Amino acid sequence: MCGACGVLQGGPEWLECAAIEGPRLAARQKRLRHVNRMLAATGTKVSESSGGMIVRSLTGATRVVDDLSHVWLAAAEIGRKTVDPLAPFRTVKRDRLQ
Amino acid sequence: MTAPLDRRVPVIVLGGFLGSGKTTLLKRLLERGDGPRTAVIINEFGEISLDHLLVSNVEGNSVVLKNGCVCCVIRTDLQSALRDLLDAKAVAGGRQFDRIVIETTGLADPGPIAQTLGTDPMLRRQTRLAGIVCTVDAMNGAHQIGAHEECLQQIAIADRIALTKTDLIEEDAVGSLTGMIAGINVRAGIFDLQGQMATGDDVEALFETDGTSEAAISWIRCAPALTARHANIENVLFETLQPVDWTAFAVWLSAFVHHYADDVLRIKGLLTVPGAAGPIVLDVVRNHIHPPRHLSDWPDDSRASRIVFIVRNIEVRALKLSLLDFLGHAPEIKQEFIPPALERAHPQTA
Repeated sequence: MCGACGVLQGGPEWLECAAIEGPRLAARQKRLRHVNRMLAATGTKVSESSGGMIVRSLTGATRVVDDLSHVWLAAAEIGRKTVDPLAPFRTVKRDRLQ
Repeated sequence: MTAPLDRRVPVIVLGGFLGSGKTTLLKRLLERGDGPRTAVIINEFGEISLDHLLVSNVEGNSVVLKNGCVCCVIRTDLQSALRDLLDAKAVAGGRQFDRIVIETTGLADPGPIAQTLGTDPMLRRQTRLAGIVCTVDAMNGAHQIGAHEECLQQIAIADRIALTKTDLIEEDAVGSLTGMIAGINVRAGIFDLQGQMATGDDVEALFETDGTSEAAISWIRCAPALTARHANIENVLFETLQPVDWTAFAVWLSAFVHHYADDVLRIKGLLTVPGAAGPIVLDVVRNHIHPPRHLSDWPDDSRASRIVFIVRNIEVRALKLSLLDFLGHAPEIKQEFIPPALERAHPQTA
């Protein structure tokens, strides 16, 4: 197994896989760094908490989550905006594409 | 390092619009008798079930799910049916069947069915999605694609497409329909099962289950550098020569699929990841990301990572720039656009 198995949704067994990219702690910290890059525009941050993750907003609101998809949901709930990775690069409004 | 042997039971979803020949195709597969042993789940929508009566040797490893569509109303029935089949196989020492084919109703979206395999804990461990096959009625396909969103989505999401009833129309019309299908899903293999060159092996190839085989990843050769487009559905190739940081990619993919859940139809990828001996195969059906698979070797000389997105209502340029930026990569390389799906149906003349 490799680092690929530790990130995507699909159940806890994927999160338990050993990573080839380094020790498990380092892999988790790397993942958190990338998640926080993605969250930057929403005004939220994520950190680890006893096996799960905590999403915090600038106003102090928090949500405890256990996988990536729930991170995005929590950020949309307590952050400034939803997580849209394409937003900074879009030149056409979405409704004009439909 | 070689890829670990995947012992999960391959499951193939057979979809296609109403009257497009799904049951006839399934009958042809089962009548061959010399291929892998097949268990079937037939989903029928209506008070009276008929399709299973048309499949003569469906008894034994077969289940008929009635009065509801497995993609929406009776998904728990599908889970139970799959579990029962797997239990029966275990009791029989694993010899009962080699693969499962799920024939859906004509209006079904294969996405939720694929999701069921990926989210049910038992099914996730014991089965794997080996492919989505879609039948398209050559006589009525063009009209159905234009008139019915369900038909369009079934084609867009498929791995392999079986053209049926092509013996009833002119060759030019078949070519026109093939072009239309390639505009929706340029990486799907298109099989003309009534054509003069069609053989029983073509039927078996449609139901190929070896996820690491040449056939299963043949889509990488039809990945378009230019985008193919039909209506608001686009086929987008993202290609990069730099190894992909899997952690960054997975975070981006998760956020992308989450935000654009309704507009992501299919994503397939072959990725070069630092530290992995071979490439990693990515498969996303609608908003469900299947566990990545490891291949022991690359299928061709290229070590570029290639990802095909089949999406709608999404700005292609923004998609590419966003992923490049998140990975920290330079702009992607360009290549010729040669869709072999078209080549197969209509060999190019010099």
